[in-house]
Amino acid sequence: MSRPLLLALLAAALLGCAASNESVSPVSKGDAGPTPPAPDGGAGGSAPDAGTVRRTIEQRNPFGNVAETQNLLWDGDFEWYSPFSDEYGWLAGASPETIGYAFSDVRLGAVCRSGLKCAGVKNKHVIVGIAVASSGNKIEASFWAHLRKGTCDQVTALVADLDAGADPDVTVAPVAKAPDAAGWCQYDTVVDARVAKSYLYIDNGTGDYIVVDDAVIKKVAPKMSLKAWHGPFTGALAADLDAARAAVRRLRGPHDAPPNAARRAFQRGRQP
Amino acid sequence: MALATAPTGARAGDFTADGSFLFDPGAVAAFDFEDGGDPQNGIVPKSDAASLSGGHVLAVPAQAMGASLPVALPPARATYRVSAWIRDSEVVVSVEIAYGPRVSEVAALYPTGRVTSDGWVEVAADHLRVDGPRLTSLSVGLFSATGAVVDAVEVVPDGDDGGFPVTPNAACGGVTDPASCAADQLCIWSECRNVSGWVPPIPADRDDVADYLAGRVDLLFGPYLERTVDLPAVHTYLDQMRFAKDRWTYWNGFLTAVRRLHDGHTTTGGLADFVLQNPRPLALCFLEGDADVSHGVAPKDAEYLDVLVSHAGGDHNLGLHAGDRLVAVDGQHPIAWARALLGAYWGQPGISNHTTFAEHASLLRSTISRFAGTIDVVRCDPVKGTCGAVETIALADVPADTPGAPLDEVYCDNRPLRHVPGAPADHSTGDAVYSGIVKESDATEKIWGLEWESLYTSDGADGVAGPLNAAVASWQTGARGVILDHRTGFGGTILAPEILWSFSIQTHANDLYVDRTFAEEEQPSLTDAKARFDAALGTSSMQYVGSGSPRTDVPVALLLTEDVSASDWLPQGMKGGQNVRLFAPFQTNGGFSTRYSLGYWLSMSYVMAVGDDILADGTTHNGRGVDPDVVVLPRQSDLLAGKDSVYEAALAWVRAGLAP
Repeated sequence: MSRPLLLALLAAALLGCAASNESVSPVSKGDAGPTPPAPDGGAGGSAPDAGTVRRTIEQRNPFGNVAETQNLLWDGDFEWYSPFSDEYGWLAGASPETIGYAFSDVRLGAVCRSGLKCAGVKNKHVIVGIAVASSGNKIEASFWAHLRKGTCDQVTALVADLDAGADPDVTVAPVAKAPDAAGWCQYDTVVDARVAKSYLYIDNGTGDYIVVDDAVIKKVAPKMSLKAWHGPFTGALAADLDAARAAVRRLRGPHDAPPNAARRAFQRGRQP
Repeated sequence: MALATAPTGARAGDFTADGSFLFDPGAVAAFDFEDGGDPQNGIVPKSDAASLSGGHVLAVPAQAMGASLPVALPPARATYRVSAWIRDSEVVVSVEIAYGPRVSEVAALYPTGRVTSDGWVEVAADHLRVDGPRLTSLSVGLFSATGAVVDAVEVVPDGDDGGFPVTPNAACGGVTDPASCAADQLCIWSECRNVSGWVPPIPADRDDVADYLAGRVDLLFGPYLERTVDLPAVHTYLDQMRFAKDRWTYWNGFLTAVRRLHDGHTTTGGLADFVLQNPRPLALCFLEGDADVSHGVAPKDAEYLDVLVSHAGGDHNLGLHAGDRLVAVDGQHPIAWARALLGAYWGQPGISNHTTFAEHASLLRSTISRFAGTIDVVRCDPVKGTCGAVETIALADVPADTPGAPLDEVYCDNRPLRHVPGAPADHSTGDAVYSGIVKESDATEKIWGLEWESLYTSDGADGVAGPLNAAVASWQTGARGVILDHRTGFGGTILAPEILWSFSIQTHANDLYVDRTFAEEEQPSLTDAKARFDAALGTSSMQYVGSGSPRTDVPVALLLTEDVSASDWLPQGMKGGQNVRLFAPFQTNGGFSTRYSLGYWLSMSYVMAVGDDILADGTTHNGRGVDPDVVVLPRQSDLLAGKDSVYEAALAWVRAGLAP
């Protein structure tokens, strides 16, 4: 299977191209939208026609949005998600009632907004980012979601108190109702100081799969004006939040699971 | 947003204007999976219209053995860049370099940031040293947790031997000998091994990455005492990232900082922990105790307890057996030596308690083999009950095994002896629960025992819940005394201790677990914490333990040594029970939290505690273990006589108070 140098040289010669030291060739714009994810999780695609561009290449930061050094979410950009993890900084559920540690739908590559990893959320599913609050300070919550259908306001997002129930649950509103040309919606809201731990609750009501990325919760200056809107929520949303609170409360306390199946499989493969 | 941060190192394969991939013309090996498969090595190509190169890709199935791509290299000293393109999901891609019969060095491929619009992501490792003349094999290993495809794997020379140490992999006398190895090497199994390949390059935006990771520690790490006591020292290692001139110093700075948080839930790990194979395994288990027979030849240390052999396998034991003593490792007390591995050992155990070290003692079997140059031991005669002089053993003199050599492995569980019928002689308890009338008792005396290590049940029905409930049911009808041997406890969930508390403890409000709430939060005052505890009374946040009708007529002894998390909560809830006693050599770990686990491309990971625990008096509990009611040190004289000091003390107490 090892193909020697000669073959690589021959291939280059046949194509009439020399391998380039340029970092990108050709480069797509950094803010271009991703190739929509295939339903089966694969990248899909087909053989290119002659003369068509087969693919574009871009350079991402492999550590994601680290410019937000004070992000109060444990892993807002999903770059430190590991399949070996049994208790990660995001929770997931097929519904608010089933929110738990089984967060596993992580997408990879150009499909993401920033960095190399992002979260996939099926229709009607929920993910919850775990964060802390900032004592006495307003906080700004933001993230991006890529939609296949629907409008940005069909993703319900809140800075929620899923633990103590001492803070109001505040909507993180879309910046625009319609996704941009690439299908991305930005959500951003400044909320007042909290007295309880913060969670970023994201519920996909678009009717199709979405991708979530680049979530940030951060302390902001007192002069930042509040853009928050909270309650009264619809009965359905209030019920969902109550269910989410009950689910998260069930997760309180220690949770030291034995190595998960992925980790055990890797260890098995490594035994001499 | 996409941010151009080109990593250092060669670029290797590239793309034409239409996006077609071209292997680097300087590649010495390239795999495009067009030439048929090699199922023996896990190489199963599949046709894929979106392949990066040719018309096929390598399918890496979920949680299977993965694939291994053998690479032949020229017999010269050189450095190489190894790269691959992956799609669909994360893949562990490792470079495994062997200079003998087993893997000598390993490197992990990390993302470069290059991605394609059709889903491909490049991973690479650059400047990997290969001592060609000595090379016996080099392979690229692939594993996926969820299933993925790989294409365009290539190996490209990217340097000569100018940066090599004079002897590429010199023999060395232990990791604590600073002169033995180059700055980007560690002395592992008595040989200097390159470790730069364990970590990614220093990021282009190195300060942001360093600040971001420091933020994880400063903003999110939960335990109050450790924040007060340990965080200042942690910043020394975080600063190491900011001033690092090489990738190992940079990334090891962060991982050392995490370990320096000094917490039972807070650990790090890496690919090398799994891939490198021990050529000199030891079937020896150690624990802390009282070397009452040998203080004449080696005085007791002023700070640390003595370290004794608890039990040993039939081979690979250096001729040591239960009751022999480990006096020193590389000239230091074994515990002091183990603690000093902080900056080198990614797998170093976390301990919340600042005064106990059981985790280091039980892991000495592994750390000695991996990192020590010499050990000083005292051999004793179990028949005469006497000990000889201190003897020094050089680990390099221990013959290396051939791969696959038989090993009478024993697991280190702080139990010199097993007392419950059916408990495995090799101490491999794992997730099992062993219950029954103890070997020293009978159907008349009815002293029941429980030997187990996991407290994991997700819902109170799965995991250990069934066996624990069955054990409690047995005691309800037939036990006159109970000995709970939890001398190794890996934690779990609070639902498992609740099963045991219900048998012997009267209901009471026990503690309030609190997740970290604010980024700025530090140790609360007693008054504030007590107010928080009091406010939680009667709510679902309060941890109540016990039952309304406990069996206070049945004496229950709980044996402890090494524990964390739910295995800390178990004795915390038992403490003070009317007919309950905790037997242990020292306090428990004090790991009263839970944790979140994060990993960078399956090759560099950290776990960090997120909360703390408040007791009724307003004290916080993480870092402060549970005090035993009866302090019992394992004695050397007992071990030599085939006795289990802690168990014997518990058995005597239970026998003195048997239920009618």
